[in-house]
Amino acid sequence: MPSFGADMQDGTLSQWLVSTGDRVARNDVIAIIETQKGAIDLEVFTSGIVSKLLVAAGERVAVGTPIALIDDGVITDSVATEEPPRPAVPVAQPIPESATQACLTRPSIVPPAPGQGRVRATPLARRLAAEQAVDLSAIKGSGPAGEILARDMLPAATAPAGTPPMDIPAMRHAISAAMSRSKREIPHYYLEQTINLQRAANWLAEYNQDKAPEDRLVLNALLHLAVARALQKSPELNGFYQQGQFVAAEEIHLGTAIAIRGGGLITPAIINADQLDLDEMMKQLLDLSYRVRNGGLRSSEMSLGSVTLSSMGDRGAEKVFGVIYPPQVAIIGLGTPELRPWVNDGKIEPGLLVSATLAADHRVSDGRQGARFLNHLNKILQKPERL
Amino acid sequence: MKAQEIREILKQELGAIAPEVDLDTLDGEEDLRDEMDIDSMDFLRLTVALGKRLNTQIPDEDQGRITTFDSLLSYLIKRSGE
Amino acid sequence: MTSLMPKISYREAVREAMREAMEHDERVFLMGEDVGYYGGCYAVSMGLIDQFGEARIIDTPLSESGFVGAGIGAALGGMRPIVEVMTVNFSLLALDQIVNNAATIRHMSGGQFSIPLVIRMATGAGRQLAAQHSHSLECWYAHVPGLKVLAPATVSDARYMLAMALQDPDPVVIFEHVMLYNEEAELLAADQVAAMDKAVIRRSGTDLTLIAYGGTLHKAISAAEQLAEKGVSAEVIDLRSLRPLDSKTLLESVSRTHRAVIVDEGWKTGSLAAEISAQLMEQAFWELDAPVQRVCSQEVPIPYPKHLEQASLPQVEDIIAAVRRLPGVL
Repeated sequence: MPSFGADMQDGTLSQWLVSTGDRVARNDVIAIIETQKGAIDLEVFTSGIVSKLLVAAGERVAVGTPIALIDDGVITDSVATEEPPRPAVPVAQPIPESATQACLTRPSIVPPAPGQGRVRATPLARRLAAEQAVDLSAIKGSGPAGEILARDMLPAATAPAGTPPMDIPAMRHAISAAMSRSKREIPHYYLEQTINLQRAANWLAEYNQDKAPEDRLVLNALLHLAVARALQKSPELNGFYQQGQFVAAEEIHLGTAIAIRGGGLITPAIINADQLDLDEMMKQLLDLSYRVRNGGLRSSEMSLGSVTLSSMGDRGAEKVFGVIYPPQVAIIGLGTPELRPWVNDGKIEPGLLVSATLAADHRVSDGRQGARFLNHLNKILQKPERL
Repeated sequence: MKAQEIREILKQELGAIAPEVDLDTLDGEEDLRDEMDIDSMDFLRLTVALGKRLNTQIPDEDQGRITTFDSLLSYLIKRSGE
Repeated sequence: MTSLMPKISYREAVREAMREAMEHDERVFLMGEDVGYYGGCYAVSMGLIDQFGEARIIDTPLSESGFVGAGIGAALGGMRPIVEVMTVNFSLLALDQIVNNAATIRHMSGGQFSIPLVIRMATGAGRQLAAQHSHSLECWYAHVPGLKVLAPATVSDARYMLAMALQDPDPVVIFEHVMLYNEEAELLAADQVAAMDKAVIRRSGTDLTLIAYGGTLHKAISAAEQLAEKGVSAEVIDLRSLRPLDSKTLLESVSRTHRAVIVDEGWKTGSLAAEISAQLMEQAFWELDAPVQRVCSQEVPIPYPKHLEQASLPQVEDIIAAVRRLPGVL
């Protein structure tokens, strides 16, 4: 029984779409699994022949329970995503040899069986994965049969340039699962407020003026910190909706949506984002964008996010209305800041304006609370020197 | 430092940030950030790297003026000639 | 390293080691088949009888069990005998003396007696001496508690490890690979040679560790040189001591390189390479980024014809092929 999310404990096999003897190809939907979050199509991660169904339709089993055997007896219990690392077990099988041959021939080298149902990773790669809290099933191995080697775990230094360490199809699948679930389950409400960033931009230009490039800040760092600080006063936007109720998060781990070159999106969390200062936030963002590209994201960063910020940066669209990442309950969207007319004190003057949006879970909060958050964010951004 | 060397260094550093982009087919007059899908973090990283390689510092206020590959290249040639 | 030192051969190094030992300690003597007037079947003891006479360079009857047993008795009686056995194949006739007596007496006497005996024997193939003279059975001895087993692979080790073995209060078996006797090299100073129970890194590298000893060391170094041309950095470790194994040096190296290839002229099944591989698995499992590879002799009695003999032994290209089997290296 695969896990479709960190909060999933068990699933009910509501329907088998294959039977014993059927040939299945990777990514075929083979069963429908009923979870607390709804029915999910189970895609098979490997190709082969279904040799046995271990769980009958209607049975409810814990995550990790084998549900079917495919092909040569390797147990299928996984989709391509979110497979917890499991201990290495050799899969080689002895080749029978006659006794007379055995005494004169060298011991046979048994070719490795093709990877099926289990992540094939070297001991060192497994150790590194454990240390970095990385989910091996999300990593594409570079060994001859796709085995995960240590070099697939380490950041840029040993990875061949330009090889994304992530499995983009698996990521697509994960995004699809999470976003479908979000749109299916979460009653979103949306708010927008235009915020004048001119003061912040002026302050930033002054701050950067005499700094070496490596000490400079970008506007996005300021925006991230402002959002994190504003969330301090809005606990109903920071937390998780699980098992029919909302649990506020104790800390603000701000997930930040980072696009991956070549497609895909990842939302690693900036841990305790509201406790950082501007320089620290800048470092964190640089580090995260580097690791998104070169590998080394930790599963804690991937799983701890308590709220998400989707910032378009300086070359995106004017507005962004986010889809909440379940089980979170809010996503803040910041469009690309643009120089626009702004009315101040009855006079029109140019201002660097940004659209700040909030998509929040109506089961947990209401528009009034959401509006208060956006107003608070605005106030913080008018006093950048206090950040 | 010769213009050709600076050009090579610029291409190397751009390649490090966006390895999948074919720099030979890049339109030198188009907005570099659009052409290469570079965000502000990437651009800052590029600025730092170029500063180190060329032993020059690119002031913050100049960043807005260098939008295309060609303008960045001529800016760097001019700066390292100073 | 100084270049003032003249080059000497491995054969001369062993001879000089014995000469020095006998000059400095009158308890030391050499015995074995044809070691005296003939000068030894590999000419190692050539001329020693002229210097030390029949009393200290003793030609024995063709009875390995007999003269090795006599050596054990002499050691028990306070002497420091060096016993030469022509090849490891012939040493099987003395296996009872070595395994049942030499290795056990300290233990069985409750520490009252020890056997300060050094047994030298030739080992290995490559000289077309056929199956009864060409095997590498070092691991049989390395299996036995109570023995120390050395395999000097360089001229300097051949020169200085004998003296270390003679100082040991317990029986030491020294294996001299037959293809090494003509090897020539500059001699290092005595204090530049590591203690006899230490493995030595002969070449530093970062991508993988080649573990070799005796006759396979030079093949491993040649392989490392060829690998360097392909951009692969191979570390080469010379075991030197087969019992005890210097596991620490092996584990430290493999923990750095994360890959190991063991080159052993013994047969693969039940080999010393198997023991090393098992230790790496037991103690460095979480450092391994590739399955440990073994390059050993083919599992046949070593053939007589030259082409078949060469085909049966681990060769440089076999080592390169094993490195190719390591994912992510070549």
